[in-house]
Amino acid sequence: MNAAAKTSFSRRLSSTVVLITSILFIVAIGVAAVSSHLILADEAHKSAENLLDATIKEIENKLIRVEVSVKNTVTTVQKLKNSPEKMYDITQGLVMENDEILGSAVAFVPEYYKGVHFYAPYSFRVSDGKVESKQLGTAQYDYFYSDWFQIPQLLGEPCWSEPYFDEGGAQEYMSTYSYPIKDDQGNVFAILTADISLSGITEFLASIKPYPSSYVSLISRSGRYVNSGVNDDLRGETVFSTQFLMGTKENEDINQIAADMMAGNKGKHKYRVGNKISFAVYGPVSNGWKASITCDYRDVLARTSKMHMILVLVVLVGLLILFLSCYSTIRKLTKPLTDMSESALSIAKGNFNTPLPDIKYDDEIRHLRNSFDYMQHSLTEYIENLKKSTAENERFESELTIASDIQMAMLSSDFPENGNLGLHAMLKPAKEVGGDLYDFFLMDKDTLYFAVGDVSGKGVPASMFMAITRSAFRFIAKTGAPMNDVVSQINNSLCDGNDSQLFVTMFVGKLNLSTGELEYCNAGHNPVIVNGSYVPVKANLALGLMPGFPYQLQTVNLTAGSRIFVYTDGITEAERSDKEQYGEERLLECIRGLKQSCSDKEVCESVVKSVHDFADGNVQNDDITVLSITLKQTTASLA
Amino acid sequence: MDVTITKNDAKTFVVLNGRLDTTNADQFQKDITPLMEDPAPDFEIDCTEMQYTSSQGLRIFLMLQKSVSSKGGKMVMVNMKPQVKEVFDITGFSNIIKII
Repeated sequence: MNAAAKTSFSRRLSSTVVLITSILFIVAIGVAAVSSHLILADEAHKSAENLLDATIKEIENKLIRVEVSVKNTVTTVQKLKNSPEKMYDITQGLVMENDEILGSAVAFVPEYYKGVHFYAPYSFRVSDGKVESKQLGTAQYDYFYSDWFQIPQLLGEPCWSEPYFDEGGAQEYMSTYSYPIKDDQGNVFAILTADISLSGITEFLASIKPYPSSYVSLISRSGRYVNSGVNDDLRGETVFSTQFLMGTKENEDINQIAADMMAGNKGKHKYRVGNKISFAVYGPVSNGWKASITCDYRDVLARTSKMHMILVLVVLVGLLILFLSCYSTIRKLTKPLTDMSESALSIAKGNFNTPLPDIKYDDEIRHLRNSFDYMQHSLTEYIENLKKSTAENERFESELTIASDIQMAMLSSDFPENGNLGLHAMLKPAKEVGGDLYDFFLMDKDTLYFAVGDVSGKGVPASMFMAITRSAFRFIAKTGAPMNDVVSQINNSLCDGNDSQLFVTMFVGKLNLSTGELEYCNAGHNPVIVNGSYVPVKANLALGLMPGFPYQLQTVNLTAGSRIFVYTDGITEAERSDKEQYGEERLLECIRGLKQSCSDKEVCESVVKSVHDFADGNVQNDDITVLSITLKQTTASLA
Repeated sequence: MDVTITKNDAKTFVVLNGRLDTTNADQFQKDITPLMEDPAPDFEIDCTEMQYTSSQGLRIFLMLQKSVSSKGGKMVMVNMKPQVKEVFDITGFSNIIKII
């Protein structure tokens, strides 16, 4: 584990914790924000509705004061209708009496006074509080067709006019309250009017600001702005023409609000323009006008938005602290792992005594450390044992090599080669030390003793038995006794104390080089081949099994040029991978295939090679020994 | 080398199956331990399915034979394949162990 991986582990874990916490916070803040927004919006709606009610009441109070003044004056007009000149005093009195009223007229129907087509005395407020009067109707100003005259005359009821700009007079937006005055028969004979300035109302409305960008609109009976609340230039325009004038797209919600207001309903509606969401509360005013308060939700939620900003800031700082503390805690927790990995690396490099770090808490890491500690000790012990056993093996192997050398040295390699005699032998042990043996020696120049043996079993025990057998043969043969006596004596000496039940098969022979007579005794060994054919041999019994066994002697006379081939069963029982054995037939075939001129060495090598080729890489199970003797000539043959 | 030992009254039948060589000689020796411990041995060893024996195998048969002889018991090997019989003959074991 390197530093980068460890860092990223801490960082990864901290990041995950922070991420999950962030998600939880976001959800919590989101839920809190939504619910607080809902509550705030609801409160805002209610307070806007209350404010609207209060505003409408205030406007109505203003209007009612004017209406009451006018109504009170109506009876005076009715009483004095036959004194036309008094009408100036009446209108003047009305204007003087009520500050709100800028002007007042009593406009009579045509020809009410005989010969007088227009009669409309009009008093109006001029600067510095004075009131002046004049006659309103002229040929140029045929008031009979003006709205303020005609509508109440036709309806027979008082009404407020649409807002209008008084260009000739007060130079401001006004509205006129017109009251139809009826005679005793109920016919309207005059209209009493009172003009009021709308600036007072608009100023009052402008002062109503529950939120910084909220505004109050007031529209007339026909839907024209008395006060748009946004722009004074819109006065007299309708909600619909405003949208057209402002170049804004028609808004379904705004249209619906306008329609609902025009129907004289009280209500509340939400609408969106661009990304701005607002709501409007609206309701009718007693004179047929309608008022509305429009508020931007951003204003409404501004307070909570600020609160949320603070909350988010606090959470962000909290998350940062959480990340840092997680990071440092995990780093601290994983520190022992880092230390351990360093120790492990050191151990891996062969420093088995590297101390492992101490772990403070009894947790998984300490368990890991303890397991590691156990492993370290086991490893140390194992390597110690391995070193020891390797050393032992090495010693044993070197001893085996020495044993093998001794055994090989025991075998004569000084092969006689002269005009009379040729001899060669080969021994290939299956293990380092084997149980096969061969031996030969010239007793005198005409007498050759030879032997080939095979101890049951292999390895060190067999090789020791082989050494005893070989020594016994040398020692006993040199007494010059007949071969069957030699074998019997070897047998007896091997039987003596042979507790391990080892035995040895052996073929021993004595060749008289001058006569060609071969005297031999077989002790349970493979038969020998003379001139490419097996010679008859008695089996007798392998040596070391039965003391006093009567071994029988055999003889055969050989002619000059005869070749004796002796071997152990390692040759005939050599196996291929399919368990097929080399066998006697193949051996005979191999020997018969050799030229007479071959040396004994070549005979041995050829047979061994043939067996080796036959086995074709299969493991050699048994020792292989071959001995080849050629009787080149005999004294008799010379003679 | 599979060894099957069945006892019938006083006589014990042993059936050998397979090759007896260096690799399994030790195991074979263990397998026939009950025979060595038999106080009154009378063995008939069936060699019909014995394919081969090495000199180590011979040694074990010899030990068995000696154990039988020392207790005055009987041991006979039957149905031996010619190539196996040859080994017994060459080494002279046929002189010590009864083979029919």
